[in-house]
Amino acid sequence: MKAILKRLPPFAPDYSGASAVFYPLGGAVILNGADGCIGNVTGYDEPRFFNEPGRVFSSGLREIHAITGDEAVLLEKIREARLTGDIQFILMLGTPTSAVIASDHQSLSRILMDEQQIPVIPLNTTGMETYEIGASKAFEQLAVHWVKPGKKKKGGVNVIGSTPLDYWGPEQMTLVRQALEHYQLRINSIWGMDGNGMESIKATLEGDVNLVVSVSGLKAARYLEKEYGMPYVTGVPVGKRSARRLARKLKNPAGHHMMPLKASLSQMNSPGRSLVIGEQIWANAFREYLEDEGGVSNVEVCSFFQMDKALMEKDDRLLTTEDDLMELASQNRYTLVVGDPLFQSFFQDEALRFCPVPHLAVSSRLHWDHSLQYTGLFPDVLKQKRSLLHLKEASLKKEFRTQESGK
Amino acid sequence: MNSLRPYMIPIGDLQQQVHTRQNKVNRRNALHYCAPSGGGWGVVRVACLVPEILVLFVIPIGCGRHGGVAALQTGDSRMVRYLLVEEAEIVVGSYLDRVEKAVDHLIEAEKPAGMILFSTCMDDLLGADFDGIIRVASERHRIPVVRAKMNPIMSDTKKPPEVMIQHSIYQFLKYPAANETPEDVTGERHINVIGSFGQLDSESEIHEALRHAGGYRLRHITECATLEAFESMGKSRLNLLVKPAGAFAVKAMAKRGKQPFVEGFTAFRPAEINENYQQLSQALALPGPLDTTAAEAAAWHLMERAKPVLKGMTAAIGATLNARPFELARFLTELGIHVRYVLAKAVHDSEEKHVAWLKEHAPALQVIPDLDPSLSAQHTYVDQVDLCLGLDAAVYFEPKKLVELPFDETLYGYRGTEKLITRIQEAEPYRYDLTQRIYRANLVV
Repeated sequence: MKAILKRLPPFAPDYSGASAVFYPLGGAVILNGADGCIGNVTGYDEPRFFNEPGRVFSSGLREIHAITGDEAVLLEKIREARLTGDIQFILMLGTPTSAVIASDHQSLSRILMDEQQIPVIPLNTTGMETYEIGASKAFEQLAVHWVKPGKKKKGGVNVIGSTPLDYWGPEQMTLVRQALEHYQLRINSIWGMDGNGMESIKATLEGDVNLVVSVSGLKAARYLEKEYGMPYVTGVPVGKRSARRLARKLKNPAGHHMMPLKASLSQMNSPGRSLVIGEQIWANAFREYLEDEGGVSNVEVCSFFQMDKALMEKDDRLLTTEDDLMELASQNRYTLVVGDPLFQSFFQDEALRFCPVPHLAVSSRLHWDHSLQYTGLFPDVLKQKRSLLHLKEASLKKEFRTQESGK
Repeated sequence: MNSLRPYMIPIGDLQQQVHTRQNKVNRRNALHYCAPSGGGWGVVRVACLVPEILVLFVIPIGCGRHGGVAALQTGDSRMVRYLLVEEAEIVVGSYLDRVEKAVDHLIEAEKPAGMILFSTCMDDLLGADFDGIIRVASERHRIPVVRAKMNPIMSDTKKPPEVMIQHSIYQFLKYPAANETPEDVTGERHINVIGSFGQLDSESEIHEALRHAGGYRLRHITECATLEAFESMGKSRLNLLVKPAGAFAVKAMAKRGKQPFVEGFTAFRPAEINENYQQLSQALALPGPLDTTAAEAAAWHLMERAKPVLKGMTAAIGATLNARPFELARFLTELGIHVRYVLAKAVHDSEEKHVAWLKEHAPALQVIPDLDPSLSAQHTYVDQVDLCLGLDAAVYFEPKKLVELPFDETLYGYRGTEKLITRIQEAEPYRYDLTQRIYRANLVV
């Protein structure tokens, strides 16, 4: 995003994405940077921290050590913290400061691994990219280093790619599970979200197929396909018909993983156009739900975050700047827009219906305490009244209008 | 890490320990654990106190997240813009060209009365020339453009971000010409309140006492509706420094604008409040002391009445509160409360005498570095106490009552003492609603 943000806050950074993947797996996360970076994770990007505070630390990097390149200080701090006992691994993440001074996390990890006798994982996050890039690196690490063959096959589906930074809290994952089980699918594991920590990852090869629920999980799934021949399907069960179709694909995954879900429907000549703004795989699934059960066609998907070309339909669009969204909103007449509540102020047409769907990587804790069902057999995104959410969109809209008129 | 108790420093050892690390309580060789109950207003919110300006942050995406979201919660987002920089352009240094263009674009498009341009830790390390950009922009657009830094990498120095942001905002002030006295310019007798995020509590006796002493009036940045009004604070007679974070700012104002200052840090102990008023009176060259007799008597009276009720209560003081923790600990101890724990970042110079007093009169008091990694291993409360002061105290200690002392208000003087005692006595039983309280506090690490 090269332009200026005027209405939106900076989105969740890559280190928040990586941290979110490893957070529930029983390790310690160390952000090598000054303390502001950790404040993003613990206070604004990790809702689980409020109920289950995790071992997320800042290296407390200071100017003198950055200038002199004194990495021994960080090693000493980690040693002093005695990260042993029930801690199963240490994840080292980079931040803008450590990226600028090119901290050598690989070497530090090797030294620590020898000393601490637990895995130390360096991930080259920089704090200069968005969350899904860090999450993708983290899921890939899990696939490469923690998934091991040799387990007895039990069958079933592994769900890969869920973190709270997209739409995936425990309630939503329960809905995913229920939807798949409704169609007689067994859930073998939900990486990071089934309460089994690292055991979920280790059990991956006991399953038959991977269900990738976000772009962040794609690299890991591709690795598992290449390395172990394990097929994958992308998608999320949203609504009964979509869930049934997804279940069919999961039961017979060959050739399904990268196929756009319903390419033909968006070509239909329908009076209104609709837009879903969000994480691509969920947004695609929601498009399918709108077309299946919402009586809506001509649905476009756009996202500020990475989009996989193979999953894009003709009019789908990657947004790189706030101006892109402004242009999209002003040059198109949409009748329905689904997206994070912070996007609402971009759509001023009174005839338009905006369905707020909080995306944590965008609006953070402003809206994370909601009770919406994004997924499952009976999603209620379209049924919501505004009062269902703790939304301030009305006041924000007013504020931005005032701002606009004041120019 | 498996210890049930966090790392603690007995009050008797505190001065010796912090002496070697510039009075910082956190250990130099420790990782930092930053729970969401920690932090404060953050530099964004402080910068947004300046009226009618735009605040432009030049940042990698990872640096602006918390401040940006908090600004949406407070409504400050109407003033804040972000120029996101990417790795490739940092490597070749080309992002500075974009900064210049972004400044021009925003000033031309939005016509603010002034601008604050923020850089980050990264720019400190790269030695980026923001001062040149600011000078050019200021001359080109004929508005004041001021530099500020969000650089926690400097936290252990004498110029940490929470101190330097105060310095930055007061750079907008315009001072009287050499041949003018402050009164010639404003026609009023103004005293600036520096260091706090809000005006001193309107019920404090200081307002009336100053008015009686010769028509003096306290001014605070939050009362300035326009940049012009804010700039005119440079013409006030005196700066009253009420929080340590404003220390660098008042010294710079004294140097640049020859505007004198007096230290009168917020305090709860009547003796210290009395000292503050004496110094203020001297700084204003008043013929006698400020008339605060009635307020002082009322505070003493309430303290004496409260002592039998409060005596024997146990307390923990957090670092997320609007007070100097050791002065507060001493005040509570003098009331008969057993202060068992203090979570602290640093021992400010003005608190060394209180630490020494506590060493003698509350030797069992334990001081916990507020960022210590051992705090991460606390799956249950460290202890139960009757009273927690400050949000973060209630994370680690189970209180019967929680009194917050938020950053948004500034209790001051004897009336502040009375208010604190009343709040302690009248606090509702703690409802275990810490998460909601944290959201409301809009804290930024």
